[in-house]
Amino acid sequence: MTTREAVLLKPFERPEYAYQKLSRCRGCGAYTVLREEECPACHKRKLIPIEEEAAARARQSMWFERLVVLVFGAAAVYFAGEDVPLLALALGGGILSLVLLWRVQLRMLPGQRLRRLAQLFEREGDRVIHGLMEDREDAIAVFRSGDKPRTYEMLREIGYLMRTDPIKMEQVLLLQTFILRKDMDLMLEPLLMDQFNVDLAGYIGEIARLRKDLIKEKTLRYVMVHEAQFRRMEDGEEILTLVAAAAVRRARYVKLYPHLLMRYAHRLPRDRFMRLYRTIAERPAAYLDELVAETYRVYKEKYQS
Amino acid sequence: MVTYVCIGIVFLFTGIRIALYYIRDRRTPEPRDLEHSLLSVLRQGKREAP
Repeated sequence: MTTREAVLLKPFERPEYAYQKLSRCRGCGAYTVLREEECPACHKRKLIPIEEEAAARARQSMWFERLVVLVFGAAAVYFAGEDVPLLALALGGGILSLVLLWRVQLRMLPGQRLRRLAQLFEREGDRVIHGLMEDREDAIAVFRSGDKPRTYEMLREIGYLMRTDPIKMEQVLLLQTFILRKDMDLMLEPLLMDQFNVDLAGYIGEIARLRKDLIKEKTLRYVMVHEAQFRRMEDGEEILTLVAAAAVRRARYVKLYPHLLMRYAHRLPRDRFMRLYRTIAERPAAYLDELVAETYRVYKEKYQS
Repeated sequence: MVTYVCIGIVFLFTGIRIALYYIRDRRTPEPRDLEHSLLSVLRQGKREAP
């Protein structure tokens, strides 16, 4: 058994949209999700968030349009010479066009920013992939240097965009080498893989013990789908009991996963079982009959004095 | 004459650009769509990787 180490992890920033994690170098055009000051590719301090890059491109194109209007407006004024009505027309028309265009551009800037972002992803998708692969290589290099917490933090950033099983597995394996605490910024659902994984199963058990609030529908579904594999594990029954105990906290989960609770009701700690009992006793008709019967049976057998 | 041409260009250019802004505005992607398109690009990249 590997010895676990006590670590301090930086809190994870969860932006509204995953792409907000991306930065692009204005020097070499490389992408990264690791919030560092220097570009990992060219080592210049020219990294800017992708949204800022898109906004800058939109603004740049708007400035060009205003310049076109300004140049032709100025030319019109210049060639009007001393013809006052023509001069007034050129001046008035130019200013009016410029103001109108400017106002419309200001109004359209948020939409243009999104359009530019879409263009960037379409044209530079390969570069984004390459950038994330490079980030992963950097994370591996950090791991080899012995800094496991930093490696995990890096993989966590990469995994927020690159949602692949290998990256999830690497994160879970690293987490299994740390002493996990309640106050840590832990996550579970983003680490759920397509296939069953023993280390992930162990991690689910730990989360169910430390942070019941992280056991949500996706996790419960994962556990239900792979229940047989969980049971084959040495401490599988214990993990399943912990997950069932965490599921008891919401009536919705009791309704959605009655079979899991039915199988582990007799193993639940007293407080969790009493919570299940009270939830069911409030509205027995709302839950599966077999679950209601099993809960009442366990109650009579273990807790009715 | 040159003044009229220049003013014509200014009006035409401004009109076309404003019209394009309004047409494109209707087709602007939502941030949620952008996220999905990026994630699908990354998933495809994963599949194509050797």
